[in-house]
Amino acid sequence: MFDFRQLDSGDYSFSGRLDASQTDKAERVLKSLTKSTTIDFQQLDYISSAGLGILLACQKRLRATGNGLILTNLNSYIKDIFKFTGFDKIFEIH
Amino acid sequence: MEKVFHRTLAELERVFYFIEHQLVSEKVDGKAAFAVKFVVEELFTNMVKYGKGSKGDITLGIMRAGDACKVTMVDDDVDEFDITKPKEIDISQSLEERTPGGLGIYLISKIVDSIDYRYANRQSTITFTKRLE
Repeated sequence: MFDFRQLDSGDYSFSGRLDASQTDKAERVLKSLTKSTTIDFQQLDYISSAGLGILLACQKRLRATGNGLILTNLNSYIKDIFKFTGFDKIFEIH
Repeated sequence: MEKVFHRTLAELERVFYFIEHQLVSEKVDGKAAFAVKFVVEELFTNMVKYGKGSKGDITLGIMRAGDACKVTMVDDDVDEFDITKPKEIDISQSLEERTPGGLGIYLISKIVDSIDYRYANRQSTITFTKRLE
């Protein structure tokens, strides 16, 4: 199950499993973003291509206004997925 | 062990529960476990998306085969769709040029060690393996 938490800074923390059945929940958060925002993936165990798709849409929208997503603490498996797809070049990752 | 699932995304929770149970009992973890979950989800969601007219179910089998995990998915009452021939994706494209279409199937080809597709009597059978590390 996927979940998220908004931090005091206004940034977000994602957790659990972001699969195709959970994208609506994540998309609601991503669509609400209007400025550069950090999303902590420390507790996110898994992401599918459906999850990648909504991150990509958000990044395109934010970049159009000079903003962007900053993704932190990706586990090694999710890092591999980002690398295989070239997403490591289109997101700021720490 | 095999399990049958209805053709709906609402089954994904049960699909993951079954995968996780099987991976534990077959002692598959780490990168191979992540890969099995990822590839099964991509294939399952594809079967749901492109098999809307089908009255058949989807059967998933997961077993350990030596130093690999072997997964079989049988999709009943569907048209032929060979997922082992993905469109190449240009991962060097700029953000503006990128689209999410085809990412899942492309990633499958990068993640698995082998994949086989058979089609007969309106039934697709996909078998893939992932080596354990």
